[in-house]
Order: sequence, then C-alpha cells, then structure tokens
Amino acid sequence: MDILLDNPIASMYGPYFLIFYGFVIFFSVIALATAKNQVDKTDKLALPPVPQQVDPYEIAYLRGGINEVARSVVFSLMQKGFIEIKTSGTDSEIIRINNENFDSLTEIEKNALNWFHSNRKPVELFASYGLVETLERYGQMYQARLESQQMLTNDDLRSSFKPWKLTVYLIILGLCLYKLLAALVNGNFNVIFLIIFGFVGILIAGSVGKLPRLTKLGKQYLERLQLAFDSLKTKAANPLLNQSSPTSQTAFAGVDPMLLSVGIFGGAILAGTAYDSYNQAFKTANAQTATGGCGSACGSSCSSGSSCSSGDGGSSCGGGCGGCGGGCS
Amino acid sequence: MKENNRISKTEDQRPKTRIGLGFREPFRADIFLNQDKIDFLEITTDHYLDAKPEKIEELKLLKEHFPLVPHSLELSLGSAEGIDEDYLEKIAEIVEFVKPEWFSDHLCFTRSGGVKIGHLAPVPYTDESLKVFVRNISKVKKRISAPFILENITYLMQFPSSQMRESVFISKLLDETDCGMLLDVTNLYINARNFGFDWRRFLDEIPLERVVQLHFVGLHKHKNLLIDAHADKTQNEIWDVFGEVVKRCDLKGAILERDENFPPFNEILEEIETARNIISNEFEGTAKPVGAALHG
Ligand SMILES: [Fe+2]
Repeated sequence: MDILLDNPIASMYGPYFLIFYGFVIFFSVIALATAKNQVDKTDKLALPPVPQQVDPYEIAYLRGGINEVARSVVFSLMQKGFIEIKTSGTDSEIIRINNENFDSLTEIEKNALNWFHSNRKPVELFASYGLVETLERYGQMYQARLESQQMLTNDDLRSSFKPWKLTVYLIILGLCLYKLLAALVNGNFNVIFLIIFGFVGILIAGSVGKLPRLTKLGKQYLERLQLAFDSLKTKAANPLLNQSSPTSQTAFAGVDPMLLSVGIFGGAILAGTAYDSYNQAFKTANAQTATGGCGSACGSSCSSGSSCSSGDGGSSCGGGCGGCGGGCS
Repeated sequence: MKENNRISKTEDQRPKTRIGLGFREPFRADIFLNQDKIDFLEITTDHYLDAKPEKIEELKLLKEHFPLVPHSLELSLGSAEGIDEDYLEKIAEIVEFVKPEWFSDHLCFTRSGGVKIGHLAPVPYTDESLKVFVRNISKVKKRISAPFILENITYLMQFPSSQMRESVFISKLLDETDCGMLLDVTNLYINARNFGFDWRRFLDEIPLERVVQLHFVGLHKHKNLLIDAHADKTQNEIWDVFGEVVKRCDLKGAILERDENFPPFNEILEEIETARNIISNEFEGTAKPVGAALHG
C-alpha cells in the first residue's frame, strides 16, 4: 500500500507533475493521431474509376450525408419544375407547382415530392418529420453501399481503432485520478489545475480520436470525382445553360450535369446563377438551424467544391454534415 | 466500369480504328460522362510541361481512364539549329509517363534563332530541309523509344525554292526516318484548295501504309482563303477526304481536333459517330495496306 502512495509520481511537486502530465497528454494524443492515421489502410486499395453513370444522390451522400441528399433532391425537383422557391428578404418558402409529368422523376424524387404536399420552409427539411427523415431509407442504402466499398468509416474500422482510444483515455484519466487521490490522501487540496488538465486532455483526446466520416479511399474518390467533373462548375455558372428548362447538354448521357454538379460540389456553386434563389434559401436555412446544431450548416460553406476537396476539409465537411442525418462516426 | 486498355486488347485481331478526341479542359466532364463513346484521347504535351499539380493529377486521371497519345507542338523538327534539348527532355518524360502506342509532332519549324515564333511554319521542300528533318528526328527517336509519327500542316505560302512537291518530300522523309504519318485530312484539303492541287494525287504519292492516325475538324472560310481554325464542324468535303483515306489505308486511330468555339458536347459526339460510321462502312470486306510504321 505504501508504494501506491509513496512513489516519485505520487509525491511529485504539483507544478512539476502538471508539466509531466502535460507531456503525457501531448504524447498520448500524438500516438492516438498516428494510430488513427494507421488504422485506416484504405488508401492502399485501388481507387475505383470514375463511373460513366454517376448517381448524383450517392455522391451527395458521400460528400455530406443525408442532408446533402435532401438538398440535391430539392434542387432536382426545382429544376424539373415541380417546386419553386419564393424568397422575400431573408424569408424563403418552397412551393409545390402543379406538374403532372411524374415520369421525369426518379423514385427518390417521387418520394420527396410527396413530402411537399403543402408549402414548406427550407428549415423544415431538417426538422422532425422533415424531408431528411422521409429520405432516411435511401440514406441507409447509400451508407451500406459506401461502407461496403470502404468509402465510409465502417464498424470494422471503428472497432480496430477502439482499443487505441480506450488506452489513451485510460492513461489520461487514470493518471489524473491517481494523482488526485494521492494529493487528497496527502492533504493537498489545491487540485483545480490537475482537474482542468485532465478535463482538457480528455476533450483533446476525444476530438483527435474521432474517426472521420470518409475513409482515405472515400476522400480520394470524392476528390477524383471533383477533378473529373470540375468543368461542370463552369457550366453551372454559364447563364445560357441555366434557363428554367431542365434540358441540358449531357442529359442524353443519362445524367443531368446541373444536378450532378450540385451533388458533387454542393448548392453553393449555384450562387449568382438562375438558381440563386435555391442557394439563398439554404443559406437562410443554415443560419436558422445552426443554433440547433443540426441540419444544414455545411450546405453552402463546406460544399463549395475544390476548397472542400483539396485539404482535410473534404472529410471534415462530410463528417460535420452527415453527423445529424447520416450517422457520423 | 470500362476497359482501360482497349487499344492493346484488339492487337491480336485485325487492327480496328479508334475514334477519339483531342483533349481540352472544357471537355473534361463530358468526356467522363461519355466514356463509352470515346476510344482514346490525344493530349497536347505542352499543356503539361512545368504544369501545376492539378494538371498532373488531370493527366493521371486521364491515363487511368483512356488510352492516350501525346501530341507535341514545339519540337520544331524543321529548325536548322537543331532540337531544343530541354524541351525534348520534357516531352520524353511525358511520353514515358503516358506509355502511348505512338506520339506525334508537326512537319514544320516553330523556333528560329532560339526564339519561339508562335505558329507552325512550313519549310521549303528541298534536299537541305530533308537533311535537317532527318537529323532532328533521329535525335528525337534516340531519346524517345515510342513510335513517332509526323503531321502535315497547312501553309499560306509556297516556297519558290522548293525542289519537290510536299507529298514527295513527306514520302522521302518517312522512308528515311522510318516514321509513321499523322495525316491531317483537314490540312490536306485546305492546302489542296488554297493552292489548287488534287488531294487525291497527294494520297497517291505518300506511303499510305505509314499513315497511323488522322486528324479531322471543320475548315474555316476567310474571304477566299481556307484556314485551319479548329473551330468549325467537320464539313462534307472533309468527310470526303476522310472517307477516301479510310478506303485506302488501315488506320490505328482518328482524332477530332477542336480547339475553339466549342459546341454542345452532343455535336462533338455526333462527329465522332460520323467518323466511326464512315470507317465501319468503308472497312467492310476491303483489304488495305497495314500501317508499316507501327506493325513492321
Ligand atoms: Fe492537326
């Protein structure tokens, strides 16, 4: 029992112990970050080629989870003339238009259209019983498919990383509690800095120990798609191609380039185009939902194409957006 | 998912002519959305010299999805001062990276006194010019092992000092250097019209078995002059030359070479489809010389 409370660590002078503890936290967190990087070996896998038939909704899901799918579906319905967005000041409303041409809709779009039986505010998309909930089963389908392709962090990856996380938590928390006990037993009650160090250490480890939503493979694949389809951004900005008609140059190839560009780069690329009302409406929705911590904060800020893909932003944006709707890791 | 090596897959069969497109950045998304309609791409090497990382990424991406053939602009094979070694080295690096079936440049000079002149300039068709070309081409072939093919250019003047016709000059050059030919049918038609010669006779006089690849695009009329602006839809008269060439020789590929005034991509695909149809119609049941420069 003596050795437990009478050893160099237990009897170390408080400020010195805090320096020592700080180093322990620092190196533990470095080890955790290294382990996080090592545990994801998907960058060794062959990068899938760019498919000719791209599903814009699946790419939207990869980029930002179910919220991004909902945004893309809204854009498609608007482009195909089933809904319109009326904006006055900072207030936007999504209005159903009488259009019977249901054959032009895909299954997911038909389901989404049913949700627009009455006028809706953009912020409602992300609320309870919102469009995001309606589309949840598509989200599960995309999640399962992308996990099986190792584009999204899956349970295997999470469980192989878990021991690392627990070990680091145990070191930080264990050392803190042990020193706290030793201090209290020795009659030292000035432990506030120790508690602060322990608390901050756990917070840092928690943040570093969070696996990104996208695996390395998923991030590289998204970047590859963004590079391959980068010229769609120019098309989106070309007013001649952005008339209200949904007909597009490459519609014959089975993929609408405007929808594809929204799926790949996010709605922010529509700023200043004929679809600016869409961009404005979701900006407002982002602001309104930001305080709720969920919904659409990533819609226009993160998804603006290459800025998201060029650095770590790709995965961090994806993780942040998907966190509410798409089941972030 | 598409095949990545369509050219080599057909090597054991009768050579099949691939139809492709000169890659330009604005086409990128459309090219990926229509991968099954484009057999191969011609990349302009000069777009990737000392390039930014994103251009290198683009080249890697293209290489992983399409067979590529590099086409350079500034080897200046007709320059008496010789080849720019630095430029040749850079082209060699790109060719080595791409690992193409062949690569190409033009029968012209683009540099004089060490200065780039900014366009493809013709040379007089003399024995002296021939020696210059042979010397420069042998340097290129020494450095780059991939088969090298040479493209005919358009010109706005003919040199009085020329000792032979262009077709004769090209024939001699191809024989002496053992190179293949990139026959630009638009350039051929434009020169024939501007200078009043018969393009059929030109075809009679060049070694058709050395023609490996074609370029085609619409010509541009400027007053009484035809020019190769690479900005127009391929016209019927160009398709006539194209059809005649296809009838007479066995090609490895044909590239639509559009640089300006880009139309909606479906028009590009229509032109590619037209070329494909002409070739498949012409090929049926006819025997032709097989490209010696690549098969010999
Ligand atoms: Fe050409």
